[in-house]
Amino acid sequence: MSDWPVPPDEMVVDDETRLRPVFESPPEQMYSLIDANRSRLGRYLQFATPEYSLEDAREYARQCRDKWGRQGEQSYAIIHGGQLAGTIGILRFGSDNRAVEIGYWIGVEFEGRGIVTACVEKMLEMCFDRLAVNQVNIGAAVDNRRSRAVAERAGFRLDGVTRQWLVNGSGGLDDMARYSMLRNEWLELRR
Amino acid sequence: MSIEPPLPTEIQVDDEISLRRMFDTPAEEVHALVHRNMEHLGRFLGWATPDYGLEGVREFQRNKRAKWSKSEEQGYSIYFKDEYVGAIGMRGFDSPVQAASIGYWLSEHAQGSGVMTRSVAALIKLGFEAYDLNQVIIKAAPENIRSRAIPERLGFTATGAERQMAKNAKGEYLDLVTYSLLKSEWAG
Repeated sequence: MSDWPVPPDEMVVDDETRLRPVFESPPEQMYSLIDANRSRLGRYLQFATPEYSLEDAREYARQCRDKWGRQGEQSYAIIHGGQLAGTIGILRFGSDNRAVEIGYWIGVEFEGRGIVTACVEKMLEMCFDRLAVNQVNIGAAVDNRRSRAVAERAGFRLDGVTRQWLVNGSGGLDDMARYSMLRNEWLELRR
Repeated sequence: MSIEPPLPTEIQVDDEISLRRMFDTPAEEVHALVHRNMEHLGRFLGWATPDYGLEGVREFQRNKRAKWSKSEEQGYSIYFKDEYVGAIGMRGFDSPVQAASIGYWLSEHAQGSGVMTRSVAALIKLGFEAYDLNQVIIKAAPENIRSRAIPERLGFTATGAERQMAKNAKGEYLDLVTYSLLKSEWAG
């Protein structure tokens, strides 16, 4: 585990977009963004329940702060034009700790501008160049077209569908489309 | 947190096969069987290397014994006609989506008698009936035809692959073909 470098605290994605630790955004901001997008996020994401509260946002920020830099899991706030737009996180797994998963969501008012795709591409660069990761994975509910489109646009390959795997905001289970990109594929894409 | 109900210390699969807690098998026997099957196992299992040592087996067994009923992953030794022939394990009893995965290996000389198919079926039954699982997952390398034949024989659905997600004894990456069986599909 110790041979795996820690992801950076901040990343500049482009002129308008950057990533910083999720706990540096006030929980009130996080809560109001999630609240404004609650039903939309809850279709696919477990945390966005009808009961999601400001206290949940505070607890999440505390947990992210505790885990930060510990090489397991890091969650970033997507800041676009100075505003909190969503989050993108990285989680390690795999038998040799050379595989990671990234997950993301964004507020509806920020959709359609390629923000998440740009953030994913930045994460890929960080993972393959800086962390020497072998593989990056993305999982998305089968019906979550926008989320899947991000993976497909970034050049990920669809590996299969894990059945009844993702818990959504209503507590139901959704099938998950599994995407991956291998290091050699990324090097090929970047040429 | 402990696993409820407690895992059985022994599972009688049928009149030929029984599963016993893997740490109840003397470490010397585990060590000897793995070394006798080193080439056979090393094709698909990263830990089956020539330096697989007796002290490592003892340490692993001590650890699993101490965590019995607490570890979300536990393993059994497979006895066929009272002979120790392999191992089978299940992880994820306490998974938030009630999905557990099963892994296994069998001595080359014990192949061809349906030992593993029967053992896997017994663990599936335990998982669905006693642990309220929603699904059981099995993964095997694409080239591992014998291992893949087991979920295929037991009615699992192929759900794609995971690329470069395991390693063999030489340290080379292996892809894994994934299979799952939902409780609603289980014939019982």
